[in-house]
Amino acid sequence: MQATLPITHPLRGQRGPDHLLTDELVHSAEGKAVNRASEQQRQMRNGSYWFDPIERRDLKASLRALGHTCAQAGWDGEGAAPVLPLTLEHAIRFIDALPMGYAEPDPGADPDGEISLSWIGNKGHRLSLSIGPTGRISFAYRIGPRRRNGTEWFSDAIPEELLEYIGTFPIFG
Amino acid sequence: MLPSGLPEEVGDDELVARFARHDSKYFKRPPYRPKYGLFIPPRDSTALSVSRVSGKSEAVIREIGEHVVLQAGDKLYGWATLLVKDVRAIRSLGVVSDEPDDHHHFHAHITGFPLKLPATVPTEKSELIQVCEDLAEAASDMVLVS
Repeated sequence: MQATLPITHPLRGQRGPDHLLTDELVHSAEGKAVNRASEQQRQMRNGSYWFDPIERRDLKASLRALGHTCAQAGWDGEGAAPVLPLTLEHAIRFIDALPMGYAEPDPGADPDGEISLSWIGNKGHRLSLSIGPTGRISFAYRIGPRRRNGTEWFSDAIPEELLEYIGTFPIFG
Repeated sequence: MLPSGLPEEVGDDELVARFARHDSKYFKRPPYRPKYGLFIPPRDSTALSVSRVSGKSEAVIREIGEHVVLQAGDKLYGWATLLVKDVRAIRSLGVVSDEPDDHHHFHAHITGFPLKLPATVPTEKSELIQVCEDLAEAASDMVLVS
């Protein structure tokens, strides 16, 4: 059963359960509990346009627009493979699985028809991944001298290693 | 000497520009950092087209860029520049001139990418992304065409 938590601090103008991201809510024990509960609720509603925060809606709309623009072979003028509906679906499911409170990526398309998602922080701080129609994720991460690249498979949850890397980027960075 | 009047060998201190034909190739918030997608070679290729732009004004670079993207019937969104020395410091990448005719003045290739897309071995693509990220890190911020 889910505990009811008293809210003793104003929410500093935030708009609803998906927006409880003020400092005290993120870092206090109560805040973490609220966030966990909020995240569970949000994930149960995944795929529901109206329950997505505006930023998430915009990101998914950009992805769909990208999928539309790159749906034909040769979209780059140099023989690129088309972005398949299944690839787009995987990318949108990846975004749906991204917990609130994590920085959102910038989408793109690769010449092999995979969709790329990029996070760019300060100089030398980047994460890029590409998702294909089979759910294969190829990624490369760097922060200072630390570099890592590899392959993961997307099912319904974002692999922990990737989530750890995404968590290093500031939300409004 | 090449048709453009440039020497055939590309010097370490030269600047090359990579033109963006799609607005998904750079981060849309200032300072508009290029993403790895700007530097990923086309399908079935291990070379990437760039233009030699040392000493050229922004207006001239833009003119070259518009000429380049027009050949593909596309629109120029902007460009990022790279110092050739920085490119050659990345793994096995090289920069070679390529001016086969009068329509390719200032054209060059970044060569030596680790694989051609599509990647057949799953781990290979992440290697390619890493190399393209090296280029994106070494590149200037984007100059956007308004």
